[in-house]
Amino acid sequence: MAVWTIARLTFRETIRRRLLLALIGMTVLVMSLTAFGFYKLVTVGDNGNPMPVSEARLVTYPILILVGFMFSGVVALTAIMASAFSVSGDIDSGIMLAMLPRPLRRAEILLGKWLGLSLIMIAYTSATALIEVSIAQAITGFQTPHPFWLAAYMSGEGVVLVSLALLFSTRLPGLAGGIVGVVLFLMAWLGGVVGTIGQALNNSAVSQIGDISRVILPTDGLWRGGVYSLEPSTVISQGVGRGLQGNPFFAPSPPNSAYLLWVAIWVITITSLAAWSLSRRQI
Amino acid sequence: MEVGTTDDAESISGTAIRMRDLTKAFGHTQALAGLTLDVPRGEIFGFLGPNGAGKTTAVKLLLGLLRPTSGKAWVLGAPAGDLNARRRIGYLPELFRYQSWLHAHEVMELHCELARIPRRRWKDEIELALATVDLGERAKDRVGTFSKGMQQRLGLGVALLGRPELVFLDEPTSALDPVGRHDVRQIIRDLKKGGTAVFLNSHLLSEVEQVCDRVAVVDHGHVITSGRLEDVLGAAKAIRIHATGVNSETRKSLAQFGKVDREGDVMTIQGIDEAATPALIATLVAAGASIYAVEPRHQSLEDRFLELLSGD
Repeated sequence: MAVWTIARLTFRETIRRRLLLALIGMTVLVMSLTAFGFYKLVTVGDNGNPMPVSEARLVTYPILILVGFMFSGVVALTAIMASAFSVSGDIDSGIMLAMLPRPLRRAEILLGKWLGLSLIMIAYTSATALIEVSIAQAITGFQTPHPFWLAAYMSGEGVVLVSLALLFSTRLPGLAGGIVGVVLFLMAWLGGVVGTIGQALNNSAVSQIGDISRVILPTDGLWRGGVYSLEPSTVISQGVGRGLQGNPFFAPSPPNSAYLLWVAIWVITITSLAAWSLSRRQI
Repeated sequence: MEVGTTDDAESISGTAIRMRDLTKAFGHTQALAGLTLDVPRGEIFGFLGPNGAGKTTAVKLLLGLLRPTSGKAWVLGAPAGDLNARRRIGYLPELFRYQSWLHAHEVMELHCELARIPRRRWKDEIELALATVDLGERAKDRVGTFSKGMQQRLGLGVALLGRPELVFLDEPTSALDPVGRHDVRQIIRDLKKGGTAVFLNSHLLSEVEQVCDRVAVVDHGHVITSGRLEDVLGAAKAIRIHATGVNSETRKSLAQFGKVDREGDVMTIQGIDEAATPALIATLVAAGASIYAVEPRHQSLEDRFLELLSGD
C-alpha cells in the first residue's frame, strides 16, 4: 500500500520536475535524426543510386546497434542520476524527515522509489527500443529478430542501475553516488570488452575478466543480450566463422537462463541491501 | 496529578509519553544521558533546553526515527516507533520541507494516505486542517512558492491531520510573524480542548509560559527540572504595589518584608514571602496610604531557565 503510494509519488515527481519531458524531447530528436539517416541510407547510394533493399537491410543492423549503444548510455545515465539523488535528496532537504514519522517502514519508502523509478525506466526503454526498430523497419525493411527481447534486456539494464544507484543514495550524497554509479557502469562495459577480446584470443585469463565483471555488475551482460537481439541469424553464423567475437558490438549468443536468474537475484539482493541500509541510517 | 512511576501496562497507557533512562550516543558525543520523564495525556508539555541539549534527538527517539543506545520509551502506550501508535501522532519537524512540486492540497492528500486515514475522511480532514492554519486560499498553489512562514503553517496543518492524540511541535513558530504566533498558540490551546497532548519544543520561553501546563528543562542530555509550570517557576518572589501617600517613614518600615525599590508611586518589594502580603497591605493602610494595585510578581520562565542552566 505505502509502496505503491511512494511509487506514484516518484512517478509524479519525474513528470512535474520535467525529467520525463526532457528525456522524451531528446529521444524524439534522436529518433528523428536516425529516421532521416535511414531514409538517406536507402535513397542515396553509390553515384546517387538508391541502395538495393538487401544491402540496406545488411547495413541497418550495425547502425541500430550503435543507436542502441547510445540509448543504453542514456538509459544508464538517467537511471543512475535519477536514483542517486532520489533518497539522498529527500534526506538532505528534510522531505524524508516529514514522511518518516508516518506509519510506514523505511523499506516501504525504498521499495516504492525502486518500483516507481524501475517502471519509468522500463516504460521509457521499451517504448524507445520498439519505436526505434519500427522506424528502421518502416524505412529500410530491416526486421529486428527479437525486438521484445531487445526491450527486455535494455530495460533490465535500467532496473539494475536503479537498484545500484538507490543503494548508493541511502549513504552517499547524490552527486557522489551518481559519479560512482557511472564509473562502475563504464568499468563493467570495459570489462566486457576486455573479456570479448580475451575470447577472440583464446586467452582464458583475460576472458574471465569479462565473465567476472558481468557477474559483479550485470549491465554489460544485458547489453550483449540487446546486441544479440538485433543481429540477423546469418550475421551470427558468419560472424562466429570470421572471428567477430573480439568485436564489442557483436554477440554470438544471448545470456542463458542461469545468467538471467542471477540478474534477478542480483537486483533483489542489492534492493534489499538498500532497504536495510536506509533502515539503519540515522536521520 | 502525577503519573505513576512504575512501568506496568496500565501506568504506561495512562501517559502520552514515558521515557526511562533513555540514552543516545552519536560516536563519542552523548546526546542524551539518561532521560527519565512522563508526559500525561491531554496536556501541553514544554520541552526546554539550550541548543544541543538533546531536545530534537529525544523527539526522534520517541518517533522511532532513531534507536536509543539504552533505555526505554513508550508513546501512547506502545513502544516508541510502533507503527500503529504512529497513526495517532502528528509531527511538525523543526527543519523540514515538503515536495516543492506538490500543491498544498496534494501534500495533505499524501499525508492522509501515508497516515492511513480512510479516504472518505480526507476531504473534511484537509479542509479543516487548511482552514485551521489559514491556508484555505492557497490550497492549489505549489509549495515551492510558499514563504518560510507559510511552509511552517502547512507543516502544522499536516501535523493536525487525522485528529492525533499526540502532536510533537518542534519550534512551531520560528518562522512566523506575531499574528502567526498568536494563531499557533490558539491552535495549541484548541488541541488541548480536544484532548490532544502537545509536546512543544521551543526556544520562545514567553510562548511556552503562555500555553504549557508542564515543562521540563534539559541540559547536556539530562532533565534538570520538570513539573507543573507554576511549580517550576516557584512562588512569587516579589510584590509590586501602586500606592500614594507613602512617606519615607512608612517605606522604611516596609524593609522588614524585603528590599524596597521605588519608581514614583510604584514600589517593588523584592524577596518577600508571599504569605506576608496581607501584613504588608495592613501596614500601608495603617500608615494612611491609598492602595491602587497589589501584584505578585513571579519569576519569568526565562529568568528561571537561565538560573537553572547556570546551576544556581
